[in-house]
Amino acid sequence: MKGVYLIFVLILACDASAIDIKKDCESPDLFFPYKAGIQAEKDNLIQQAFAIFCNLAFKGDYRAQFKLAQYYHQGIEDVVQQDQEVAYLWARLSNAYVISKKRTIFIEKIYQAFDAEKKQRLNKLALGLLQTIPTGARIDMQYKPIDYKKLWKQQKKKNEPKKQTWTNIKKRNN
Amino acid sequence: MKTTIYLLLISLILSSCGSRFVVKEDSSDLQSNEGYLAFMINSIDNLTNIQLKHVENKDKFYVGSAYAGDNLYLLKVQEGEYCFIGFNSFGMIIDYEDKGFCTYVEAGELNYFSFFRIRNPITTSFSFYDYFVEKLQEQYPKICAKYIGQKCQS
Repeated sequence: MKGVYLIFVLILACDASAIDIKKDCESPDLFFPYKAGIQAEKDNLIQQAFAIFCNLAFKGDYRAQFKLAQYYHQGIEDVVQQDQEVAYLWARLSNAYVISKKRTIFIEKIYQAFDAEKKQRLNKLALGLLQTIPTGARIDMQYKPIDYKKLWKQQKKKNEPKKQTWTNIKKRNN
Repeated sequence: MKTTIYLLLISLILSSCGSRFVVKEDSSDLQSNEGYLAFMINSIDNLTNIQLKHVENKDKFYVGSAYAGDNLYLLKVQEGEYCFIGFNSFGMIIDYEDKGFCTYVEAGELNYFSFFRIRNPITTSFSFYDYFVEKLQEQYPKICAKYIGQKCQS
């Protein structure tokens, strides 16, 4: 029961106080590149940065997932409360496919602070999360799907021999 | 004799211009605003004039050539967004018109861009992260151990 509750909390964990930020985090149609989150952080717009990283994290950007882990680990006033369990789960997810030493050390540091029962429960939850939330992506731009039929037609047209309709002979001006 | 020396000098200068960001030493350190940008290219034909662009300062640069097969590139660059803007291959000049693949390079990190499979007419992008780590471990074992960790231990 506790496990189900924690997954529910994690999925709703990106719910922040402002109504429009919640909308940004949950909306799959809005697109934010990772760079937008970094820029928001640099401009000290932490609420906006959190919303952008949250949006990207649910879409599978492992960098955004690690950013969320760091935010939950530290806790940010008026944005997100400190929660080591949620931080651990996001960090585990971010390091599941694209492994880095920095993220591994971060995970081990948080994991050491848990007791045996919590460790067991969180490990099970982490495995469950891997099956529900994607990871391993870098979302820096939006790609449009390729229309292969249109592409083939364009290629065919390019390869057709061009008909010459003009001549090289210049008309004399009489 | 003089002509030969001038030609040698010019070719040396030109060859160094093309790859000023490519990491040559395995133990090179990063400055505070620098990050590593890594990517792999697979092609069935040789590629030349592989060109990237730093979006923020609009600096365009070349990273050299790639032989047919798998090629790993590791660049030491400033933090920012980088895009592929073109290369020459299959007897053609491929120009992405500033709409090529782009990624953001974070300072202090090893940023793995992608594995690009270049074919005529489409270039596709894959992750193949494990294969990249394998290649990185072969060519840059110290950097691999520093940034990726356990997976790089042979």
